[in-house]
Amino acid sequence: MSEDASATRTLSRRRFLGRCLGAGTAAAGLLLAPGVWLLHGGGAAAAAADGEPGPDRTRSSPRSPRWGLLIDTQRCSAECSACIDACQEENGWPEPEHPQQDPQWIRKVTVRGPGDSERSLPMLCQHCQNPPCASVCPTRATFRRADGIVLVDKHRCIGCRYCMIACPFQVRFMPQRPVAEASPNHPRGKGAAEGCTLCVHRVDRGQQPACVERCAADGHGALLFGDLNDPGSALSEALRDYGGAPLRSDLGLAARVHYRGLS
Amino acid sequence: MKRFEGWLWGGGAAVALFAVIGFIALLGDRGAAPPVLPEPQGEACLLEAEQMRREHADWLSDRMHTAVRLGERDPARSLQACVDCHAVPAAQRAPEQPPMAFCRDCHTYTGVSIGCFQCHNERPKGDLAELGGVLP
Repeated sequence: MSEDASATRTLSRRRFLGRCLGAGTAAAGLLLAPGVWLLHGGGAAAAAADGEPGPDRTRSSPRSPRWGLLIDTQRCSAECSACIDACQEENGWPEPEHPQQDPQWIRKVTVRGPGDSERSLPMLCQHCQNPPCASVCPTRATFRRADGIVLVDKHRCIGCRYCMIACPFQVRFMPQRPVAEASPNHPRGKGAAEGCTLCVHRVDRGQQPACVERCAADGHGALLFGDLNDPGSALSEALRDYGGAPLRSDLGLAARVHYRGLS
Repeated sequence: MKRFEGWLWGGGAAVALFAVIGFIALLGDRGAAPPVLPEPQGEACLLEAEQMRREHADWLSDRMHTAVRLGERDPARSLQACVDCHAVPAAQRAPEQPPMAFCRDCHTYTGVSIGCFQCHNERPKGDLAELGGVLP
């Protein structure tokens, strides 16, 4: 009998707590202060922010694009600087006062081959598949996007310069003086690492990088941008038909920027 | 009860001191009127004003993560969209007034430092078009 009574009491307490919880959930919009809710059942804004559960874009899939660049050094001329001008205008970095220190997201380099042959070529971030800058980054500020573009998350960068030391191509930079006024296309500031973004803001809009467009318009048409994962893209076809290789393939970085006419 | 009397007196004194200091702090705030913020150019904000006032930092940080890491850009919800709507156009700007006085005035009033425009450009699109796309 006493067992029965305690069982009833336990049950009623449980039911009581359940009802309390139910009532609490029902009063989901309990306002503590303007804009501060005890419980908030989502609402239109939260639903819009969450959106549809889309594909996981942090991981690459065989169907996602893999952006690459082919630079034809036979066409590139030593006197031309169309790609550099375009990059400066698009991303808002000034002419370097001290070329050894100041950012030069893209610069012209003269390489000497066997014999007396000399080639001028633009040097920019090679967007490696195995980027040494990303593997040394202590805060994971440098990362490779699913589509292969290597970027710096400047909100995470602590300015340690490890990436600048790790990069074998010397295409990672650090503004050491206050930046006058950043381009709306690319916020930048003193003390955060930066480098070529392959004009990610344009690529996400479906456009070509600024250097590629300018090289085709004012330069010698030496740059070709495209999707390495798409066998039908102009870039894949050009690589298949005429060849091209990344710089320092012995390092095993699998760079996405290919050069033709060296070797 | 006598054993706790000393504690009670001590506690009471602490509460009284707290109340007095709080009252003096409030007296100091009497003259601080909230800033009159510039009118936005657009029709409506993305969120209710009260909610935006509290959540805009988290909102922006979330948008930044999605855009930079995942490449999912939404121009209507970007910081640039905030600037285009809330910045004071060059023609209406008082001398020495920053374009994003909307953000800066309120942050000064609340004593919260704002780091956004150390790196991000605070000029609206119209301003940049007047400059011919070339930054000074």
